Amino acid sequence: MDFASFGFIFRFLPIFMILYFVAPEKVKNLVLFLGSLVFYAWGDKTRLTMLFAAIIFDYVLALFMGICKKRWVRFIFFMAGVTLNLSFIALSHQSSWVVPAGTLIYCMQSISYLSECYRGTVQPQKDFIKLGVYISMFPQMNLGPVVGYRDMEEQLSHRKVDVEKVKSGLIRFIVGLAKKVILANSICVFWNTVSAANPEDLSTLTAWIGFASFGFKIYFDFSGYSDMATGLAQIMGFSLKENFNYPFTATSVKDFWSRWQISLSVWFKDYVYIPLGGSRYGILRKWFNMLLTWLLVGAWYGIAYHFYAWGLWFFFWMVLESSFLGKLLEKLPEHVTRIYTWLVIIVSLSFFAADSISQSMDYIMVLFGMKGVGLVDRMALFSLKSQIILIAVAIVSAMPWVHNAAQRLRNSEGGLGMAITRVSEKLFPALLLILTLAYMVKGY
Amino acid sequence: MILDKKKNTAGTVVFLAGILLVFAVFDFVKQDIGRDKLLQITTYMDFFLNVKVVNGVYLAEDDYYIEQHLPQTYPASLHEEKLLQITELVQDYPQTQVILIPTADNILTDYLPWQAPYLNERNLLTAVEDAIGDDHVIDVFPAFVEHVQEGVYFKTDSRITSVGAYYIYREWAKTCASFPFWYQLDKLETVKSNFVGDMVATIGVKSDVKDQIKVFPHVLTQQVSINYDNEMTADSYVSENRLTSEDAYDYFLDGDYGVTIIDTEFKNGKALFVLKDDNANVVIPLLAPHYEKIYAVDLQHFTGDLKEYMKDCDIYDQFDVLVMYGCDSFLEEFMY
Repeated sequence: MDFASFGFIFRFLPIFMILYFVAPEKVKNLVLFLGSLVFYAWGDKTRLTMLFAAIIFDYVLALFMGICKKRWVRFIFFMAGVTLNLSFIALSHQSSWVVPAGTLIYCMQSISYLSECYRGTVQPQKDFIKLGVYISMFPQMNLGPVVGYRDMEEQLSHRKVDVEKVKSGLIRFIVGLAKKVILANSICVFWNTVSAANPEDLSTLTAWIGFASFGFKIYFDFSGYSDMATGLAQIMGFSLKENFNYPFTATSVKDFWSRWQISLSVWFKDYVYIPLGGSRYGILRKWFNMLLTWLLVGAWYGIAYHFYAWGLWFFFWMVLESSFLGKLLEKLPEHVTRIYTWLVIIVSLSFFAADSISQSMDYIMVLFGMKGVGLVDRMALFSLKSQIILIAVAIVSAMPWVHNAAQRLRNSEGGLGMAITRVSEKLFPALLLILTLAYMVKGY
Repeated sequence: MILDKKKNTAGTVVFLAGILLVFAVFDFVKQDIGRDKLLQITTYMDFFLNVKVVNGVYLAEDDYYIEQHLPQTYPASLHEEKLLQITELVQDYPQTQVILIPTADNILTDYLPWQAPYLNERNLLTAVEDAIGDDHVIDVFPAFVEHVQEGVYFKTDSRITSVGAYYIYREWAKTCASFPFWYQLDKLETVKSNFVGDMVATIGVKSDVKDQIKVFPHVLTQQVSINYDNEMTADSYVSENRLTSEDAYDYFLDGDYGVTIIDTEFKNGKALFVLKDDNANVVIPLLAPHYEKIYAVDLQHFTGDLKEYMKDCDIYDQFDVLVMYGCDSFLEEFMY
């Protein structure tokens, strides 16, 4: 079920919240678990079986790992669990190269849990419901964030709910919903036109505007769903780590990946890169580990060659930055390094958005004026004029300027600043919600 | 789980009230008035954001909603494919005439937003002329350009009006026959004054702009027998009941059918075979007085073997073939 749907907002969520808050404390996890299963089953009941099987297998395998002292036996149980979860991913992607995000999320959380149990950093969870809540918690099932078991273990037993948390969670949800419904959906209109055309029918400027729009679209999509997930979890008393930290302010590719889908980067670092040996065994081994990790990151977004190429693209720049480029970038002015990062990101989108490697190459050639219908055409000029305000709104929303200004106002001691803060804190979420609902009705 | 005792009661009340409010809002959204109010907000937002195209429709000057046809949507390979097909048709039926109706974005160019891109349909027409010869093509572009101010297009619909149909008929008549023009523009009768066309539904916003559906009195008074897909018959070119349907343009020839067979009152032994789209439905009744029989085939809905069907119909003293499409639907729908 999509968070940005009437069914979720006006049916599932209120009914679930009533049950969750009316339920006694001891039963809240059970309500959340059952609610998550209903949420997951809403769209596709067949995948529910896989989710349930994953929870049961993880539960049993982890208990076995807890009992066994011998490391190699624990390793066999661990690998059995990993293989099982990967097979769920493989089964889910039979019909298309994109695996449903929900399947990826719960499989990654399962692997996180099994890894921690195997390493002995956590005790196997004896309460099946708590494990079920961790693996299947519905707020994360749209597009994450992926939460490590260590970060959730304590919260599964003890979490604090208060009015302030509920209020801020609700506002966070509304902001996320607005990012998705208003910004992502509006800005992708132009991208839809560009992506429907053959690359050779595009002008260079159209391609740049198109890919910039696509970049904003996926940012507002991913960060919007993360905000919604964080907000919903907050309402229920959970505290999830931030998944985005203004990635368009990044001054290097490395910096970008420390700000974009942070939970994903952390997961791949903790459960792929470091177990492979990280940077401990010399430079060549480090690069090999990076290569494998980036190929897997590409596969996370889609099992197709152009996604692997997308991973390779980032691997290439990460290697350059770790070799010499990083030091060079440190000496350059911030706006230059920011432009460099944007260029790398925008070109990377030609791999991400394409249907094949050859189409990616066509897009890149158009971006650099080597193919297409020239540098500028009517479509580019028209889009630039008609999209300019939307792009400006998107840029302002993607940068920390508004947040910083609000912070300054909040901290100001003057009466006016305080008054503006008070009024806007009440009015802004309400207006944003009305506007979001209007856009949802329009798109319905 | 620890609950803040002091705020707990008040918080729970506010929370439950909030949940009730959610249900109330849903009820509001479901109702037409609620939807309209919310859609109005998005219209204001579109204005604020300087949005000029919504769901492939230009928000043009003078309250025109004009369908967008981007060159990128119609690649060269598609043009070539259609040219080959129309050439084959003309080879099989040398009496074929082709009318390609320009879409509004090609004629109402002054009304389009600044630098709004559109497929140059003049180039398509020239390519068709080059492929099959000028004498097979009836060029209605100049007439549309000249008379655009008279309302050849609706403001809210992508199809042509009865005025547009009149100018198509006039151009067709110039090349095909000599006889009195029975239709007079000043005699057009309004049959629906609050028509909201397909473009408004496409953009999904509330619009106060309304069009009028008009019809020539002659169309209403002719004796005719019409068979739609061998399933339904009618004795008029227009269907009154369609005026209140979702698409009131179906008033003309009752909308979309694979095969429409028209037996007119003019027994002159001549038959016309029309390959057509929606636009032609408003033109065909004007052509009727020149034929005893008209076969109108809409390839979007036709399921049989076209070539066989044409052979079966070719039993008259004179068997004319007319291809009448909007330029966009010619590229999208025409097949032979």
